[in-house]
Amino acid sequence: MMALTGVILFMVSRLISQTMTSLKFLQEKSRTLESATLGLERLSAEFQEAIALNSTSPLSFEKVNLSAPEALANPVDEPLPATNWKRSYTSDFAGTDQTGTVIFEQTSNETLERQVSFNSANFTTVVATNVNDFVVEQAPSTESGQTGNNVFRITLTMQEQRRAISFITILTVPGLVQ
Amino acid sequence: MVVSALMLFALLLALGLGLMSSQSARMKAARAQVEALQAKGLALSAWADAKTKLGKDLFFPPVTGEQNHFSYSEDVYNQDEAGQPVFYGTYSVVIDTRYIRSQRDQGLTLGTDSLVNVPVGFYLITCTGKVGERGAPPRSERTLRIELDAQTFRVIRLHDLSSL
Repeated sequence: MMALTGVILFMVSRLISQTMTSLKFLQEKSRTLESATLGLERLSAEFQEAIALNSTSPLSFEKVNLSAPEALANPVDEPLPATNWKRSYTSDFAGTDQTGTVIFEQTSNETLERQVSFNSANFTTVVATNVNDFVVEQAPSTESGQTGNNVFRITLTMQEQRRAISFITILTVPGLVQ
Repeated sequence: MVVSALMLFALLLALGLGLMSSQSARMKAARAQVEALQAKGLALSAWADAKTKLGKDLFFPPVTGEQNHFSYSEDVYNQDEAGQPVFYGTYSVVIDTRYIRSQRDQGLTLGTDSLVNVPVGFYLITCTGKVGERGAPPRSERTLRIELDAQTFRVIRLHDLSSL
């Protein structure tokens, strides 16, 4: 009887131990997936706001300040198509540069960082951790053929325990010339 | 013996329920992410639709008098396994024409201007994609705001108003 109880208790302890291992693995996998998805989503959402591309490695582009006035603060009540209306956010109607630079770069400690510079303000945030590789390809070839210069394939490779998983997104940036 | 069996059963039940509830939460999170991306896809479809109409039709958007906004909406359908259309979501477009002026297009010489008026200035376009059943609050929504130069037809600014 005692031996049987011992066997049962041993099997229960093994069961609990294996379940905990499985839950930990699933949690790790889920965290990797969420980190990659959110990182790519955040990156692609911001990259689609680009109005000029500086480089793809590291990914560096210009975008308009979110608080910039609409239509470059051109006088909406002016009746005629004014020849002095401004057309680029690098100098709006008041002469203010409303553009800033955003850089996404993989650092040496396996994180994907976002560096933003607007006028004299600079700040850095971490977009994703456990990043194994980060590649941006301009005008990639897809199954449907060669794409334009405003199309990008972004590959984010994450390190998950002993394996690396790649997440790929393809996006169009409307503000860049095709 | 019966008590031991009941305790073992209770333990296994707790383990099973814990595993299933954690999987359920993960599935919900994954589905929410997918729907958020689908809403973004619909918003981008709205932009592609508006850009095509603006690029091909000189009389679009059809604004008259003091009207300075034009909006429209399109339903998007998917196909089920039988090939029947299934309502999938909607996208809507609002075009703000307050910064648009019309002027005669230049002719071959200064003395013979074209009879066609062309838009000059900026279109402020708001594109919204919504995923969900008709008549119910959307499960996911995404809005893009785009400023388009009417002369060069270039996007001078795009602002993603919402994300995951």
